[in-house]
Amino acid sequence: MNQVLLIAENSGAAPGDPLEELIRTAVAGDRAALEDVLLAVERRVYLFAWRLIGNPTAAEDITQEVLLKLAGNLARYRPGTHLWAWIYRIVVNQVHDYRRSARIEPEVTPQVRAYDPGREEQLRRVEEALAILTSKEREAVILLDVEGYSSPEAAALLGTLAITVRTRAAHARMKLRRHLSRYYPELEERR
Amino acid sequence: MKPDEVLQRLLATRPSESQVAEAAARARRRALERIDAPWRAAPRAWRWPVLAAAATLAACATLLLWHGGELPAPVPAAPSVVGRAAEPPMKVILTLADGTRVIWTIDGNLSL
Repeated sequence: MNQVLLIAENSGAAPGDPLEELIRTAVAGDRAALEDVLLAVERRVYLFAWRLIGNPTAAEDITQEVLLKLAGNLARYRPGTHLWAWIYRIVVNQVHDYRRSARIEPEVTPQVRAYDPGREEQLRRVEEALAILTSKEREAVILLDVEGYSSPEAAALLGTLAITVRTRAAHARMKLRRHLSRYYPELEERR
Repeated sequence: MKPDEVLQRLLATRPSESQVAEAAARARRRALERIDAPWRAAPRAWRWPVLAAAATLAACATLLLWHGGELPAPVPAAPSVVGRAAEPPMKVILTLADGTRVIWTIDGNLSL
């Protein structure tokens, strides 16, 4: 945890950031501020959990647990440090706990299927491809290629080395391109 | 576009905004319910095992009560004496300190 905060010191929230003010107020015991903090982070937490676990029902359960942990540990957050690295660390740990305790099935949301068949098909293909990765490869490629973290930041978040994250992400990309190139030929390297 | 860029674009595919918003809001409401009342709104994954355990306990309790009615007191079978062969008398031999031997003979009627 300290490593996450140290590495992200330079990209911490600016003083007076509205979310930081809300957190300060929530820690002081303001219930409405606590609800606003959870409201401010819930969508990004859900989306990250969904990308890691690949199942919307599981992602919702994980989001509930993450928000609960946040509410109980807001006082531990050091203002000015990287809030989202801290939150993502909680999400990653919660996903690990969930994998240990439950059997996860990939699932495309019924709502998407009803209204957007094109996106639904793309989601299904991507989820099918992500399902062949190990959980560690999946975490690495999501953090680097989707969430935009650098390898040192992702490594601190995952509690491992930067080179390990880069290696895992490279393996993941290779597997994903091999699997998805049947649908998207542009993924194949041109020689 | 380079293959890795195509891959990044594909990985960025996400559910609709409304689906994300609804699911996240449900999660937040359940989290807040648990903050307010910790004994309510258990994670979905735990509900079925708890319900199954409760149903099993209820079924066992029902079976126990159904079969646990009062049973009639058992009637001990009377010993049969017809045709029983006469038993040999029992001998008890005591040897006293001075070497005297005392022999007691006990018959079937427990007479000495």
